[in-house]
Amino acid sequence: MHCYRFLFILLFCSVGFPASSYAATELHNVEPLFVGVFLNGTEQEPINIFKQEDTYWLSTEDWQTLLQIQIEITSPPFSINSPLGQQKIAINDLRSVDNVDYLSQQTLAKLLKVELQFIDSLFAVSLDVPWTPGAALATESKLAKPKANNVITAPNSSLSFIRFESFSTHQFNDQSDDVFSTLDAGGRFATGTWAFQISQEYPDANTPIKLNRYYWDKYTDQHAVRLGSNYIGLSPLLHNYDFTGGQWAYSNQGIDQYTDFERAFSQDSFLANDQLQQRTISQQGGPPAGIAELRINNTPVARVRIGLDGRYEFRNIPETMGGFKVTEIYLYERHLQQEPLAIIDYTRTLVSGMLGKGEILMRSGLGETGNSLYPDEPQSGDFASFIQARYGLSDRWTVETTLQRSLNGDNELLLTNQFAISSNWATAFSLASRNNHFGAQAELTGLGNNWDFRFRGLHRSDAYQQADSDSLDDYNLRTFYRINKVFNLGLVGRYLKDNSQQDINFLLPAADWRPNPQFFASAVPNFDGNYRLHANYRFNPRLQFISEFEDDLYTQQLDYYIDDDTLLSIAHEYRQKDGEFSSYTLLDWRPNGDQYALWRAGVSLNNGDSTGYLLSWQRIFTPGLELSLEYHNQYRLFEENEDNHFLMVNLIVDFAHVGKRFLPADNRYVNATRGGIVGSIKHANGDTIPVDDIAFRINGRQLNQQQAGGYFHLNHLKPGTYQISIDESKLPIEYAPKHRYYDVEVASSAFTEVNFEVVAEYGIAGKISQHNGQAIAGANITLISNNNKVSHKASSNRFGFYRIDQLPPGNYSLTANDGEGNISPTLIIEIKNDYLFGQDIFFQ
Amino acid sequence: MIKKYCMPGQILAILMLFFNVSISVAEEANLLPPPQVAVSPSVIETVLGNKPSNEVIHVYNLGDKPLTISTTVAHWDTNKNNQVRVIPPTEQSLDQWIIINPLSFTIPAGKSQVVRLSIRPQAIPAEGEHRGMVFFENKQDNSEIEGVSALFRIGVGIYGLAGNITRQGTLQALTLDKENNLQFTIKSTGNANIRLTGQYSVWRETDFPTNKMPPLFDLTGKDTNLPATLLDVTALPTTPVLANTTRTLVVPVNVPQQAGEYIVFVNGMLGETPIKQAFDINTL
Repeated sequence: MHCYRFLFILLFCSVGFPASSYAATELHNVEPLFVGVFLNGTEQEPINIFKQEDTYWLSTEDWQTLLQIQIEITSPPFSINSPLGQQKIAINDLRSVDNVDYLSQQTLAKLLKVELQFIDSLFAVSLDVPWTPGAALATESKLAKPKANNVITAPNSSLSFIRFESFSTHQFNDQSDDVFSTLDAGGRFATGTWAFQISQEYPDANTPIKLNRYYWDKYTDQHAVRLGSNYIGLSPLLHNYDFTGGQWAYSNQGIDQYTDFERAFSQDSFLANDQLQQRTISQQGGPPAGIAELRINNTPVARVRIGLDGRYEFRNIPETMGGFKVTEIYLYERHLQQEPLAIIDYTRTLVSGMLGKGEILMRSGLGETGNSLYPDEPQSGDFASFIQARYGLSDRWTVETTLQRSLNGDNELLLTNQFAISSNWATAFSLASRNNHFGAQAELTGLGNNWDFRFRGLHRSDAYQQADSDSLDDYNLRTFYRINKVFNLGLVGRYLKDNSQQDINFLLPAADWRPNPQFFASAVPNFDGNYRLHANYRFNPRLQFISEFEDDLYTQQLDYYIDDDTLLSIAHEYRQKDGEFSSYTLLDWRPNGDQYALWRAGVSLNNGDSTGYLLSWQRIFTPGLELSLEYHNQYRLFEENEDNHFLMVNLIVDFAHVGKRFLPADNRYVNATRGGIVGSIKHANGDTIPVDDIAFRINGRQLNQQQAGGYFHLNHLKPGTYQISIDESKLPIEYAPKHRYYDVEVASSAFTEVNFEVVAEYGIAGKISQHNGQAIAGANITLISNNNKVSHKASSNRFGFYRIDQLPPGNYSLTANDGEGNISPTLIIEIKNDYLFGQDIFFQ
Repeated sequence: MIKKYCMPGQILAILMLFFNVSISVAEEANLLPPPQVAVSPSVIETVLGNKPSNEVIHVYNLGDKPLTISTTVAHWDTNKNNQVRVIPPTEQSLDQWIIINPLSFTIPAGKSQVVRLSIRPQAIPAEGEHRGMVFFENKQDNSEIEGVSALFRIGVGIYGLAGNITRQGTLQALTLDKENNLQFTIKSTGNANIRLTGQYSVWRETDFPTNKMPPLFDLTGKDTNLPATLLDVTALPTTPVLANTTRTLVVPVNVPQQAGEYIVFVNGMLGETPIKQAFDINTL
């Protein structure tokens, strides 16, 4: 055993820090152009460039000459030095043609705000550079020194975010409580980022407060390092396990494509490939307050209510995620009987993640299984080490070798071959060995405009899984063909031979039918061979009828949208096997259309002899502060759900730590590669203005934003500099922003605070008349503030009316001159918090 | 409840109406490029209720120089030639109830400015339509020609609707005059303006489908299956005929230059009343 440890340590060390090498990806399918150049309108020497689809590529040398900047690409980290500062160039941004390096117009637009346009009439490129080429180059990596007071730099905080979640259920039948709480925190430390999670489960005394997860990550252009705990699942054919130790990953084409991915705070994925093996799925973009249903092999295994911010999470998913089975998430707008809005395929496919030609991706780890802080837990304390090497033989062919030693001292070897047969077809094959027992997995996937095909097969020999496990063969097929806009036909089949359970062997047709926009019907078998039948008819935009049969349960439901914010559902469900039934009514209501609040009330008649109730309330108070309460009392009761009398309380509290203050934020999508912006709209006196529908634009675009309680939050932003502007359209009319935009620096794993200060300004309007009521046109009006200074001047229009705006609250005196030397009596005006009409002046 | 009108086929409604161009050197007027300003939407229609009605107008500077613009509000109607006419305010005119922020501003070249409006009735609105016009005026010298001052004025019509709105009208006459102009004489009898909708189409007399009246054609340009024999199809003007007025709308017909016998078919609606009428044109 010790010799194995030595071998793996040697392997880890030998591959852990190889010499850096760099090879830019070749630029393919390009059109060479010899073009004129205009720099800020001034003609320059013509140059050779390449056009690839709609993108123009200039050589780094030409960029340097034209913009008078320095581009450093001899060795990583690559950088570009301009008057805006020193910024990193990702390896992925570089391309080469005949050993000459090229950068695209998008890269220069992103880094230096340089806009390139091709002018057909001149056959030239026009470069719009919003700074002065040739100005002194910056010497340090930071945002250009503020030229104005609307530049905000990112904080460098060791503690960036804290998140507390608590899920509590009180069962009234036995007066028991079940509470699960977590505390997450993270930030920046020693040029890297760190995070941890503490959890506690109550009332189980055997699970005291536990440091579940803890790690420190450091990324460079080609390398990524993690020290700490992680969940390892390199392949469905290999052991998946908790791990504590050091990990390293390397890509000669830049590691950021594997480290920069959408990951929630609750996930501990190290590389993007890890996502499909995690025990937690956390996603955003679901229908707010809808339902997310996790289906494995087309059978529902878990359902969660989607948050009002569109996020949902499945925790503690069993090995199935890392396994072989088809894993999907169905998203429903309000309830399960509706046609799903989307189906997200989470199946871990063998054919995904192929590398480009010449690309190398390596990964290794050294440590032990389990959480080292809790050595007494099952599957803990075994020496663990692995090395995984992937190489792109061509753009269509990737090979992989993985060597792992982990649980029980098992030694595992995996060989994988991925091959794209054509633009529509791909295949992959994995062969694994564990202690001289074998497993294999194969996949053939096809995708066309109106068809898809997937065949997957798994074979495990005797004693492969465990010493006493039998062999297993599992093959499944799912294919669909869209005949026309109305019919979609398919085949679903499976062959399962597993001595531990009953064999499954079927090949069944599947179909869906949409003869018109109002009607939809489908019949699709699950992977156990049982059909799911569904039909719905929409009488009008507000009323639809749904009928469904699945898992021995018949449901008929009528949905009626009373208005845009209120849904009334009336349903009857019947279970065939025991004849039980339940009729229920559910009201779903957003008061005043508030997107951050939802009420639900339901009543059910169970088997015709008992009544059940449901009442729930969800509310987001500020970004990251969310509370939901749900009370069930025998609602939709079937006999087996005897404990259907409970109160559920979920609380989420998120804070961003900026400077020395904690601000409301949503931390879930701020991580080692992404940062966020938090802030509010404030009065000059510092008070937050409670408006929640103001759009904030990032570089002119409106992206993910959450706004509640007067605070806004923009997350999942790549490190860089952004122009954040406020859309005044929905700002209360009396407010004017002091700055319409800020240039904001965002750092990974950190929040930058941006507060838009607004000033309240009002106005007055009235009429200037003679004493007999005759209007005076062209009267000169003078408004004097309470410090005896002339505040504003105006004149009346041809009907004698005037307007003066941009007046802060205060006391004013108003006089008018009729143009013939007559001065009107003085009108005293007090502006408090509103516009004043009818400020009429009459000459004596 | 709120309608914002955009010019057909354009995402961005660009209204470039120059009600008043005042130039100190008249003979140089033709040398001046038009001010590059656009506003969106071109018309706002909103319901007057218990709460203030808030609206937004986007003003775009499409030129290459900053523009300083000031804003005024006025009451208006149309004269007999259907041109906007500023008239004295009344207690019920919308201009007396509109708050605007900002009243004056400078838009950098190529940028835009959001102008917010809030309509706060100062009296109980009488049932029917209340009108106001927001004018955007340039008072800065934007000309590169020394000594020339170019002023422009763009108006955005605001309609506030209170109570039960009835859009009623009668088509008193529909004729085709000798200059090949369709003339719609419309009397508006409801308490809000009424507009024509629909289109006219032009056919060779021999091609006109006599057995079945031509349908309404898609004018968005997306329909690629328009009849090959259809010579022209044009939307009818949406000029409002204000409540309790009678106006004649004159619509020039695009008659083919080639001499021949043609049919102009009007297929439209005035309120709820369909208009289907064919006219012969003989240019032989």
